[in-house]
Amino acid sequence: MSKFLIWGMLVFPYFLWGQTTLQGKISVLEGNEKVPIQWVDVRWMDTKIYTQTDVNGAFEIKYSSDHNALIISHLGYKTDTIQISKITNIDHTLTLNNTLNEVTLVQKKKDFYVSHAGVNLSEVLNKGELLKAACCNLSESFETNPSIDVTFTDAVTGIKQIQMLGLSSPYLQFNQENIPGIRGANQLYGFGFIPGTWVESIQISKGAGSVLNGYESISGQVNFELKKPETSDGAFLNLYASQNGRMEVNADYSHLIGKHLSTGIFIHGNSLQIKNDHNEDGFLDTPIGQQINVMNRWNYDDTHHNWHTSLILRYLKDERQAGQMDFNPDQHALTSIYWGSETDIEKMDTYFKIGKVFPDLPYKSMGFQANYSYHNQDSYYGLNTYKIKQNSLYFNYIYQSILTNTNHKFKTGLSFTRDLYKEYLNTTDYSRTDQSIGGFFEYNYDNGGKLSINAGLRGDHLNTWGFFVTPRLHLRYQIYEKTTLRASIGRGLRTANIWVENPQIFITNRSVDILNSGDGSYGLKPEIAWNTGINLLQTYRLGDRNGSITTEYYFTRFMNQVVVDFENARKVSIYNLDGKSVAHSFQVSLNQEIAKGLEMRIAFKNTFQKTDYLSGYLQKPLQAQQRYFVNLAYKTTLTEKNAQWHFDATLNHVGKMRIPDTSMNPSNFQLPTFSNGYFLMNAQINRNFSKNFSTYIGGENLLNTTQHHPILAHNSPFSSYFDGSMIYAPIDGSMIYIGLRYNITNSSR
Amino acid sequence: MTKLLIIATSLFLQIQMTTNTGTLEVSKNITEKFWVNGVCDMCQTRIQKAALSVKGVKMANWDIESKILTVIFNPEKCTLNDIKSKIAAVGHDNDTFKAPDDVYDQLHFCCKYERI
Repeated sequence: MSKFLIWGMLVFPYFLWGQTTLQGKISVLEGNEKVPIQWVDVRWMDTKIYTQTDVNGAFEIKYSSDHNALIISHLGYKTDTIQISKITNIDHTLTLNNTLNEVTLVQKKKDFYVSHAGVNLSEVLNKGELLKAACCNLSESFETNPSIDVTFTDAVTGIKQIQMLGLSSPYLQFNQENIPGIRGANQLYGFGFIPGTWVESIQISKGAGSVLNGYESISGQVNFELKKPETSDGAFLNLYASQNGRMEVNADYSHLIGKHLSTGIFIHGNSLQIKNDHNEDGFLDTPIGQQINVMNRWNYDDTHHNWHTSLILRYLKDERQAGQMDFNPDQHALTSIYWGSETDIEKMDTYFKIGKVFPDLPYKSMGFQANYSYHNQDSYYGLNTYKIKQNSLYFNYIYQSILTNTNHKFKTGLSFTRDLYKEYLNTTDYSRTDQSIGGFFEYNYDNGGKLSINAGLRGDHLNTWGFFVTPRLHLRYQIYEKTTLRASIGRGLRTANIWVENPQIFITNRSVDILNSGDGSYGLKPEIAWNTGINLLQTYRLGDRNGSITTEYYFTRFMNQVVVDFENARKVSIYNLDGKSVAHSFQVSLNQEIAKGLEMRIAFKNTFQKTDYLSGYLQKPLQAQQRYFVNLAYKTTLTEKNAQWHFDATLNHVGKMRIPDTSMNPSNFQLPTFSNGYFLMNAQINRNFSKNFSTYIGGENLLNTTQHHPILAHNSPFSSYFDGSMIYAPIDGSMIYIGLRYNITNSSR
Repeated sequence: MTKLLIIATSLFLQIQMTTNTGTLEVSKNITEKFWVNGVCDMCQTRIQKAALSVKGVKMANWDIESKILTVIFNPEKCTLNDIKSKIAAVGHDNDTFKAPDDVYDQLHFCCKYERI
């Protein structure tokens, strides 16, 4: 017996020894298929014992009964902990980080935020924020944001103009998924061509901006991301109707085809056929018309080789009719019986992107972007015909890597842009070609510490202007954990498209003078400006509520500007700046959580733009110097069935504006020197019944603030006093809308 | 127009080729993974900073949950043990070196990981 025991004691450990490794296999899901994955880290909890999976996803790790939990982790996947009580063969499948956390992430993700990280001060508007207003299109997405002002260009066309830092949208670059998107002939109409439901998020960054996307941005950059088919798998339907008769339909369907490929089709249609004239001036308050807008996008993700490809194809047709109520285009077009206007736009776009990250060197990547756009506008305003056709081609190549280590990153590349314009105002031909080719280099320093730097330089050759450089610099210094100071300086240059950017010229019977005629587009020099800015972000906790205060000041100085001068009531003069033109913008905003689910945002803004006009150094007309903004948003707690109420209200006070001199007009067509300030209020209630179905009701301009008789000489639109360009308040009164959203998610994921 | 497309694609391919030859230099870049003890965001910053301060280290990424540090470095300029000893010197035990007790004691209280 004792002999047996001794023998047993000798052999048993060896018996155990042979069993002391644990084996297993790790896979990931690609579509519905399990694929083994290499380089997965496998470690016993609270120990240094660690291994990695091989090409077949297999691993082997020393086992001891002391260890009872195995940690399995891999970049981009959720880290799993497996309890091990005995030796078994492990067969484990990792899940992607985002799919598993989807539900919790959505709740944690803030609708709107500003961050201490990143060299640029950027505001991020997520889906939740975008749902706070009906957001029929991109221009309406900014209703709940104090940084951006949306105004009408005139009393007739219904075209909206977007302003930031006191400068209107041409000075603000709009990028669609980091490709310059709304520009050229599309400059103003373009905001109405991006349906709100297609937009996934918007990033607003003020000041100089990156050199990666060209030299055109002056006051800042706004980037919008469209819905991605791989994350919006399923079908979506949105219906909208407003009190004034506007109807909208948005329908989209996204699908995963196999492992890597996904596609989505997005359809938008809107229509307004009811003529409204609430202010009884004989002119339509809002143009009637319809739009059909279709997008098809394809994404190809090869996660093994880290290739990502995206292709967007878009087609749009938009038809608008504006002018007098009794105007009938078939009988009255281009006659002086009734004043009327029709604008037909057809547009086709192709966006292509390909990017690669080197799997073994994750800091190294490259990307290529290409865009081809066709825009054709055929229109007339009263007795003036205006046509513009733009064919535009854009290429951008970006290579990203490091200098010594990842604290020092750089991006470099080449860009090419070619815009072919065929433009006719009546019989005058303004056709031209703008072509530029350039290279850029951007250096970024960030060691995860207090200071980060982003310095960019690009050199471009523009056929109408020659060679020029565009330097841009951003600094960030985190003074304390919750206090970040940022500063920026940069230069921008752009070619003005005088007719597209100033459609209000056509809504007057003023004579138009282009002075300084010489070389370049319209005989005008490109616009050049320097922008500098400084801002301070302070976040804090008040009790257990989070809050933040942002204080910012930006200053823009134009070296050259194409000045559009309405200061003479008989005339519009367009000329190169001779003298000084500056814009100051100061803003303080406070975001504060007041109670659970209740958030408040308050802002005060003072913008001031002054330019040397022919008649003197004057404040920019029809622009409010002061704006006060309050937004309250309340969400009830999400029930188990994902039911929720959202309440949102925004109150603005828009300050007085200077009105261009009208003293030359007969007294009944004269306007005061300054307009009065006024309040504007919007509100919306949204009811989510489940994850899939929600309805909303909202109101715009609830205080019914309007500009009474916004058109001068509206009874005699062919007289020389006719002028619809003097707009300082809304034309439409209060308007109620309702809508619903329904989505079906594919259960296969 | 087609000419332009050709130029653009050839440019892209060319750069693609040069970057491909770039990846041939991978022998100059080794990727290694090892265990480093730590607990929080501050540990992460300290560990990564320490690794990057070693000449030749190009990238350092420490995962809080798995406690695995991934480093990419040039073996002609430093060794794996240079990196590991540097990390230990700033207070973080790893699979080869143990941090000096006095350095460990001076870590911020939230960074005081359990020593094994």
